[in-house]
Amino acid sequence: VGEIANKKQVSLLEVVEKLLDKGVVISGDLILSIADIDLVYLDLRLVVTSVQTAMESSDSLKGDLR
Amino acid sequence: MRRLYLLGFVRNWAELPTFGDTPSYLITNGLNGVVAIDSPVKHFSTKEEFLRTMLVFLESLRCVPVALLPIQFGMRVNSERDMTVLLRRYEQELDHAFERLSNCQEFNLHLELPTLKCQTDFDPIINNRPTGNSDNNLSAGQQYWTLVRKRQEYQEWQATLVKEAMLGILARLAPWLKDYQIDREHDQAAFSIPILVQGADENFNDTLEHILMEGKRFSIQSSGPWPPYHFIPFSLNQENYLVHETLSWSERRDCGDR
Repeated sequence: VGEIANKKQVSLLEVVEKLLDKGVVISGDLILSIADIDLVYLDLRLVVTSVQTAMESSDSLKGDLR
Repeated sequence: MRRLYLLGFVRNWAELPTFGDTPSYLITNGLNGVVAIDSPVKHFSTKEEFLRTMLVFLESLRCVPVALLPIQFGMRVNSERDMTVLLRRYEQELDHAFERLSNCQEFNLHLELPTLKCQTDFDPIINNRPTGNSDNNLSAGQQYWTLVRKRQEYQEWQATLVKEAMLGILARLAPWLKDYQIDREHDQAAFSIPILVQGADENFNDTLEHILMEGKRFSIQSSGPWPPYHFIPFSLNQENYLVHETLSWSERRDCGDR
């Protein structure tokens, strides 16, 4: 009986683990980090914006140098 | 920096169970509240320990009238002020979600066909795929592809069988069934679906128990009731005060709030 109860609990823990990835989720982009370690933040819009900003900065820098 | 991990939005929080020995934080705005806990890696040695506490917490919720809309775990904010901002920002969505999910609970049903002998008969033959170019191998090759096709047909038949059985179960639970999520592309002999049940009463429990006992051709299991994890009608937008983390269980208590 103990073994059955144990198995049941293990399978319930698996269910809980899967459930924890559901609920009110965040929409849109990919945000990754690991607890207590510095964030790796992947936001596609930010990447695009960053590239655009970098290009604009580069253009403006070229303009200044002319 | 503080790290507050969001557990969920709540209503009727007066009897909210504790989350093991982990400090928890409740911030309210009108009827709605949001609950967070300290970083789990500070308070639990292993993921299993954390999951067990979560299981106890979710099971305790069944006995009290607290309504919880769980938040995908790993979402965190840095302060209680951020929790207030979150509540105010999503006030309308929360009112709508609590209204829609009032008196609703989630169950998970898992239905599986046992591995039949004829299924296992296919595999040794198919796994020994003939190679080379001789005439003998041509015939062996044709035999091989016939078996592959037969196995595919067999698997499709199994998937249809399981799906039909699941739809039959859903029909029997229809008086309580408010919603369910079924994978349209389902093509396997095992089938798991979350269902949203409204007003689960003794009759519902009896019907479900009866269905579980009937599992002769199929193995049927259920879990629940859970908060409505799969049926939340809104999501959070990216906010500058919200971070989604993957918890690393190699990090221990000594990491603390930094």
